[in-house]
Amino acid sequence: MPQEDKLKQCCTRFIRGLKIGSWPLIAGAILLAALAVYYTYANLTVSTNRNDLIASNKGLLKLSNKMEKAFGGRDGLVVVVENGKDKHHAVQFADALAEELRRHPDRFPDLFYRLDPEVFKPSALLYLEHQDLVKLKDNLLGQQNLLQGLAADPRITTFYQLVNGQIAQAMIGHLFTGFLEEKTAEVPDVSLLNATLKQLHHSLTGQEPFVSPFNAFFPKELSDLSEEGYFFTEDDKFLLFLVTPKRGGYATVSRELEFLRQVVHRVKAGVPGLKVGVTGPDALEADEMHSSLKDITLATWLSLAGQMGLLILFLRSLRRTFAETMVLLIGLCWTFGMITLLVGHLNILSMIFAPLMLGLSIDYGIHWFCRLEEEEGNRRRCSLETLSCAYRQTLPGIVYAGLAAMVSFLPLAFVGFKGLAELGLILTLGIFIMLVATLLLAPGLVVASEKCPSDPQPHSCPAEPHPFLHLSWKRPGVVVAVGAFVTLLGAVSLWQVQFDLNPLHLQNQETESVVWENNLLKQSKYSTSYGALATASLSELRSRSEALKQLPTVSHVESILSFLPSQPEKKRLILQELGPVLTSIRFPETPSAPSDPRETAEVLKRINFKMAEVAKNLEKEKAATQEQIEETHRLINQIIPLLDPRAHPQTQARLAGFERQFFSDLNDKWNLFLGYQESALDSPPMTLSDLPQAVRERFVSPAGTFLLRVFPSQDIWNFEPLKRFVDSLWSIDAEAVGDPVLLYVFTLGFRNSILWAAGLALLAIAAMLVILFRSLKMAMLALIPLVVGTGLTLSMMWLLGLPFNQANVLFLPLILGEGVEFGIIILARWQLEASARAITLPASTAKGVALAALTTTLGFGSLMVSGHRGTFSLGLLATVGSLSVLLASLSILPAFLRLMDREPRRLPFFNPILLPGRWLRNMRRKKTDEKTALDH
Amino acid sequence: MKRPLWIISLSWAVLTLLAGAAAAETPTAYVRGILDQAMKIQTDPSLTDSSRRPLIHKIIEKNFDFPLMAKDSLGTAYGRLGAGDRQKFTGYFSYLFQSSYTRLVLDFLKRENVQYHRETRDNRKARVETTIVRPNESIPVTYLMHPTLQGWILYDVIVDGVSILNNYKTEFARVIRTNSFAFLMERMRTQVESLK
Repeated sequence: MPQEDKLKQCCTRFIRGLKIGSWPLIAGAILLAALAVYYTYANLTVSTNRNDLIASNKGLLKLSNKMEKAFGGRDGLVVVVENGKDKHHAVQFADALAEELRRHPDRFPDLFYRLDPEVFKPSALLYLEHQDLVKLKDNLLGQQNLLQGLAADPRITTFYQLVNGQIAQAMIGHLFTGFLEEKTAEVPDVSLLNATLKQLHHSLTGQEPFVSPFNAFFPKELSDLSEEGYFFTEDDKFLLFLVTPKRGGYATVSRELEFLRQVVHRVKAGVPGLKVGVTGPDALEADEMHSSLKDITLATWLSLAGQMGLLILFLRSLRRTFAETMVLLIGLCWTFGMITLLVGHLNILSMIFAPLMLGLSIDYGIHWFCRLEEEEGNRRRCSLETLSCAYRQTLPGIVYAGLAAMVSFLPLAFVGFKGLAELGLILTLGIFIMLVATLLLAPGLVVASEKCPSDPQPHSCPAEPHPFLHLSWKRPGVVVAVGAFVTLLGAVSLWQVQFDLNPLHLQNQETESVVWENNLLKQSKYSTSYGALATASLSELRSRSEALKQLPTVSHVESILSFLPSQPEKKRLILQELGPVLTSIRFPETPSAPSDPRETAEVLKRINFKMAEVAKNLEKEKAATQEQIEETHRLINQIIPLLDPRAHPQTQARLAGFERQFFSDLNDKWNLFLGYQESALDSPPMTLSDLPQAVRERFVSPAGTFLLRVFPSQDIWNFEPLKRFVDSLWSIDAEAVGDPVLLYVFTLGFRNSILWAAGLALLAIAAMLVILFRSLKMAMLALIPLVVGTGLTLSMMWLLGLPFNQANVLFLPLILGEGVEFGIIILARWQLEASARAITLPASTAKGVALAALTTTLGFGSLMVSGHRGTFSLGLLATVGSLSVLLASLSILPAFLRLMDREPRRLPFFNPILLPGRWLRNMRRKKTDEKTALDH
Repeated sequence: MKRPLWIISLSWAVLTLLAGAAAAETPTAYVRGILDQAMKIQTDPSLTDSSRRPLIHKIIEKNFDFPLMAKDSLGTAYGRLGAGDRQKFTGYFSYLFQSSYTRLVLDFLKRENVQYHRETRDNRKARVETTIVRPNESIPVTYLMHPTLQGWILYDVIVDGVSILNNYKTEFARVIRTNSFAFLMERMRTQVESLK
């Protein structure tokens, strides 16, 4: 029996069998779906750990887990407080937040936001950076004459006289003998002068309180410990409050993050004008996850709703739309059951399988329903004959399209990147199940819902098709040339479209954690993400720290050593040099005599004269100094009128009050500084055991190894800086891990796996088409919608500035699958039916293809409303890709077919071979025939 | 014994003549004359900054005793120099001083309200104390001079308590101490060339 007849017989038997078996079939399918749902609900888990996605690098995972066990699991959430003009409000907020969070030790077991400054007090001066200490020494020694002069005549006028003398000396020296200096003489630092002028102005205008002007001279941290020990970024712009949430998966962290944000919001209300946000590795991951889940849920529902809407519009039948929806839902339930059985879990990549799979598998039903509509003709009523004819005529195309989709996903199952491999397996299985569900249930549901009696009149199968839009395809050559041009343009565009590997670009830029991570990165060059190294000894820790600090890719390193004074012996030598100056000068608590306001005004006028001239002649590049000098000038201009006792009778008293506070403050600061200097010289050196427990447990493991946190100097969310940073880390320690390393391995593994799988899928599809069509020419024709559609998509991406990224690249198989599917569906009919060849493209085929493409466009294009940039780009790419493939399918491919139709036909008629065994027999027979021909 | 007496008599006669010449104009009037000339140039709207510079330079050249200032600025080191070095040093010094003082005048002196205070004389040397006064600004400037045949000539100016000549003395001594006189001469030469 010829093969076509066998197929016809099988299809007719199946459709006739549905007449009595449709309800049991549907009931069985629903029962199986219910069982699958129950099984899935009971057993399917969701793995949100990124580490689970990169199983290909087991060594790295092992190292990461080891590091996590030794030091990790802490400080996953970071509350960032934007500091205003002074630290006071940020500190007040931090204390209030700590008090509030301490009420929930079960939710936030560890808070790390302040180190007790009293512990570090005896060695306070040794904690200053070496260059800061040298600067302090130079400052004190450079001002020795001024300090001695002031100690000898403690009056405010004397202070200004001494300052004036310094300025005059500097001015004359610079003007007449400046050429003898090794380096250009700087304008004297006027920060102390300005600070005193500000306070003098405050006092003369009766303002309180007195703020020490000597903070410009002595480090402020030494005098007031109440606001010390908090974690500020280096530029003091942000205060960081580290929170460790309760251990658990995504759900737990997400819940704690939400609660933390509520607490932060509540506490913030008590400190008005403060900007606060929560970020950190856990927050970024939870926010991304939350946003992804929300968008994927949205994607699934939008996809379903959009597709249903289009089905109703095109099929003009609620029953058939309902039937197709049932097929999809039942198929989805079966797929979930199968995933639970074979894989057991979903990961953050594979959880997108549903919209992806539905986007492709809905097409199978669409092609069948459109063909059924054509076979029914104007009667618009089904019969067993029309059902059977539509089923038989579309079966090869649908099966081959399904196979092509499975082949396009299958290579993913073999990549080393575990997340993608699981997604590939799930999609391949899913497409198979959806194909089976469509072929079994779609006719069954139609028979059950529409009765479909046997037609008394014989049905001509296939029916006479109508041409698509009555196109006559008179100039196919022009259309083919346009297609060739678009493909060429696409090849050029391929070099222009970037692969954006920055994961932050995918996220909703309005998301709180992203906003604050960006703030930290841009404003303070601070990242909550760091590389992690472990060393076995302190000496190794020291040498690695030094080596890492030398790297241009590293901004700074943190280790237990950061909490101990560096180079204490060297610093002690500097402090010893200060000894004679500090001990020889003593300031009284009160001034020797009250200053005369007129005398003070005269001195200030002299300072003012020189400052005005210096400011005029300063080079442009010294803008900061110019600003300071202009401030001096402005302050003196404000003060001089206030020093006139005739206009301001209270001036004398206010000046005297200021003078008393000035000398009392100077006396306090001087003695305090002297005390710090003595304790730094006399106290025993700080050791690890002196450090607080909170510090030690973060940087020293129970096994005695030491953690080294390495912070990047550049924005490592971009791939190139990330690569440089990770490479430099590995050049110091091949076992370095941490978030940047994982991100690098993840990004690289992801990109390489996708590219490898895409290339392999293309080859596999081409090979499959050659095997199925038994003709290279036909296989190439089937690829035309894909090739031209891809060319058009790439050109559009270039035009729209849309790069590939980690989100939209996952939906490329959808476009790939669609491109091949449309080619197969059109070609299958073209080869199978002479009536179709006569008109090149039958309307029902074109309608099926258009509807399939539009369901994808509407289903995914609506995702462009999403704020998540990855989701937006996905929607945009799906829209552009689907429409491009559709355009190529309905224009370029038919034009090619038209051209071919003019050539003498040598190709065999379409002879689908569905079973591999039969295909092998066929091949063997062909070989035997060839051998016989040769023998003859 | 006759020669010293003769020399003393001649010197006395010259000094008396010089004193007489100087006595024709008071130190304050002399200083006022210089400042008026300078302010006239500075406030002449028909002149540009570049055309003012040579005119101010000329006033300074005429009114400072450069050989004396050069000698004083080096202190005892001057005595150890040969005639050639002395001449070269004086040449560099006078050029650099004129250039710096011209800049000082161009930058600081405009249409000023100059108050003339005390005028003191000590052993034929004279000292005129002045103050430049502006709204909320002032600066004391003291002019030191001695008499010559042509009248008074300046040998130092003290700006807000800082003597320009002392500044030279301190800095030259520091450079000679830490480096050498040759180094100082080389620096001066380089500076002169760069200004030219």
